[in-house]
Amino acid sequence: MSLRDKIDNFKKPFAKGEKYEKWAPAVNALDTFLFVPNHTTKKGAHIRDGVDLKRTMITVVIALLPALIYGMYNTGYQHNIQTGEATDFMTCFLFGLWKILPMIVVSYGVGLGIEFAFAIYRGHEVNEGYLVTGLLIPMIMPVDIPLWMVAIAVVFAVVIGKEAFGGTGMNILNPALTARAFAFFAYPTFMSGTKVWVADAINVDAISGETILGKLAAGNAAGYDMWSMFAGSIPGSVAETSTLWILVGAAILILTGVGSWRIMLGGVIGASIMGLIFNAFHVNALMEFPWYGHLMIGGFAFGLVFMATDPVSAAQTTTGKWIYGILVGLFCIMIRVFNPAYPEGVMMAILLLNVFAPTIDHYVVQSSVNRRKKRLAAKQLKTT
Amino acid sequence: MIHIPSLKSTTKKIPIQKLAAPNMLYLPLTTYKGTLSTIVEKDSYVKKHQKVAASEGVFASSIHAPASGYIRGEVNIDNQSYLMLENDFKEVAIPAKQFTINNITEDEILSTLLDFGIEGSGGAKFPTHTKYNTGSKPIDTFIINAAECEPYLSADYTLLKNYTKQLLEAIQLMQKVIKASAIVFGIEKQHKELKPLILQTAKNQDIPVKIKLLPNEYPQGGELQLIKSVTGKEIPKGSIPANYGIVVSNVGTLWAIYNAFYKGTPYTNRIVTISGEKAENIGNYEVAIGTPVSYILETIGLTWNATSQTVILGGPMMGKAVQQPEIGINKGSGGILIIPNPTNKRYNCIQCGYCVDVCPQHLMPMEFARYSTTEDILQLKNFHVNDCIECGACAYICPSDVPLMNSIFKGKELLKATSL
Repeated sequence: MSLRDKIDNFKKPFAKGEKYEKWAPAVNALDTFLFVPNHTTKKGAHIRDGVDLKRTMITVVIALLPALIYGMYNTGYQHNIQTGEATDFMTCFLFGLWKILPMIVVSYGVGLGIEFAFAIYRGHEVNEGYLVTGLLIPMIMPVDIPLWMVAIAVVFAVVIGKEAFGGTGMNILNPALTARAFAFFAYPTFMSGTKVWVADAINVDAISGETILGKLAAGNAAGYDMWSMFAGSIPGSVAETSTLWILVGAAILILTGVGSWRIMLGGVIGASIMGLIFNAFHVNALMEFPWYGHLMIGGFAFGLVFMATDPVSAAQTTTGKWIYGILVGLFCIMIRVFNPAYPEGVMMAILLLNVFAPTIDHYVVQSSVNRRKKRLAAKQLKTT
Repeated sequence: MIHIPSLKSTTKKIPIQKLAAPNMLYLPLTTYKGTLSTIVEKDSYVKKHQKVAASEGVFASSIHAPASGYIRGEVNIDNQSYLMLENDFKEVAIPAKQFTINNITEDEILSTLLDFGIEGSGGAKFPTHTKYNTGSKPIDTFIINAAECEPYLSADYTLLKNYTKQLLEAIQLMQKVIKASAIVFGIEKQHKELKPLILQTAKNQDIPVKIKLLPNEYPQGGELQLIKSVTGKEIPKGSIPANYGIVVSNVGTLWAIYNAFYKGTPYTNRIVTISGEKAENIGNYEVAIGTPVSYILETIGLTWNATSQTVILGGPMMGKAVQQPEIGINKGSGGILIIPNPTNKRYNCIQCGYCVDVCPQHLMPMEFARYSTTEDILQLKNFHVNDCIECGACAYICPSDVPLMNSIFKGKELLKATSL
């Protein structure tokens, strides 16, 4: 008996009209995970490009891995330099792995559980969309956040942020950022301050670590050189510190055509402009901080590369993508500098622009329609 | 525009083979607009090349018997009418018409095109006599469509390679009607080896032709896309190219024109590419119009099996999956492809915008999917669903395998049903 026959046999009670019909989506999800499904088209394109949604999602996951692996190392590194333990790569990496793996397991477990429940309830197939969201959520949380908070944030993000709108492809906000925003406002003591960014800092008095943005907001000097900011050996959320490895991920996304380079470049341009404007005024530490430094601290690079480019919540039109990217950059730096209570400007900026993305698209389409109308009118004028 | 692997290399090297006519022919009665009505009695005897069905009007056309035999009445297969003709294998033909090419008049050319049932062989089956009836309109560019952008198909390529001289003669003949100031061949870069062959042959025959090498992109052979690539003019969908001084003709059509005037035979045979991963004895075959798909499959050593394979009449992008094996080859079918069943898993649209990037008409196909589902006719019109040329590039690229073509067909139907 081949595996195919075994699965077909197993699926019998789940067929239409049978006893366990309701559970069919869950069984089908398992089936399509193992085998390529078999439906045919009658009209229209009979051949397809090899890239499907599943492969797109896997590409994003691969692009996230360099930043994640560095994040694991950095978690151990930040802890060990404070406690005076060894700081070689393996020791640090294993420490970080031990801390971060449970977060990933909880995120995937809870999130996929909800996805399956909704798929069964609604009678549709399970989508692969959560593969990316589920990995993004632990990567943008502080390392010491309790696991039950991760779970609740995931529930909020998937149920309210995504399924309430209709599931994969229908959400208005980026689900991973929704999770972070929820945690940020619901449990501020675990999401900001001086004691959350380094592992075990809450329990051990000797350990403390502040993000550069936190220090700047308090009016202190950054305390790190530019190279550390670029390479990422600074305190921060799990995997958002290393601009270098995020750029590697960005290169993967751009080369495979999965992430929009227009949004990424637009964001860098927007942030640079805003940074230059503030540099010109330089009234406080945040404004004095060089504009290029702003690109490397906080979650700016991570958010721009992996969150702002999420096609579902971003603008769709080419011009719209430029506008969207530039505004994300502008608002990110503006929120950082003007509101020291919310140093994490990129999260706010992307969520804000997520809401306005359809508006941007609407006006882009309208403007090109009007332009064409004008051109047509001019042509008719010429011929008559 | 989108790059799709061309998959032509295996068939394009094989010379054209002739496929013998089958025992029973199914002559398609569906034309560009409307249906042909049969003009011969049931069970009557018809000779080879005799006209058996015709229609009237601007888009008039006709079809002729590819073999001698008995008419066995009309049959409806998959919502299309076919006229059955039982072949008696005696090859009793009506005498071939003789033309004096040097003294032929414009009217004689146009009436012969109609009388011999010549239709565009690129797929749309637009009546050729209507296309060339340009009246007093000045034509500045006569474009020969040799782009053949659909993957697998190489029928036009082999024709151009093997019948260069004959095709040029047909072009010269049609020039008597349209008097274009320039003749341009549109050829994809992957077939650039044809360029010296055509130029040399044309020089020998003293015909001034130009060759435009086009990028290997789909749908380069679409009429509007070809016109844009060759002349730079972007003309609206639904308009007649002749109004802009352009006539586009397909290589397959020119071959039919050559056969009509130089051999005196109507449009009863065409070149069909047989290919695909599951096919055997692939290549280009000269097939009688009306030959059933099942007969072709048997001749090349395959059997009809709807579950393990997909048989496509036409190209893989715009062709139709064959539901009933009896349906006959029509004047627009450039290929028969036997490929594995497509594996589609439908996901939700994630608004990645790939369909917008590839659309040759600069439309937003994902909006059609959205508004076809909600049946929002006003929005379908606002997003210009009728400007879609149904090339299928969006459905090819879509990572979520959204059935975009179905949405477009449905959207056009919805729009047609209202007065908007």
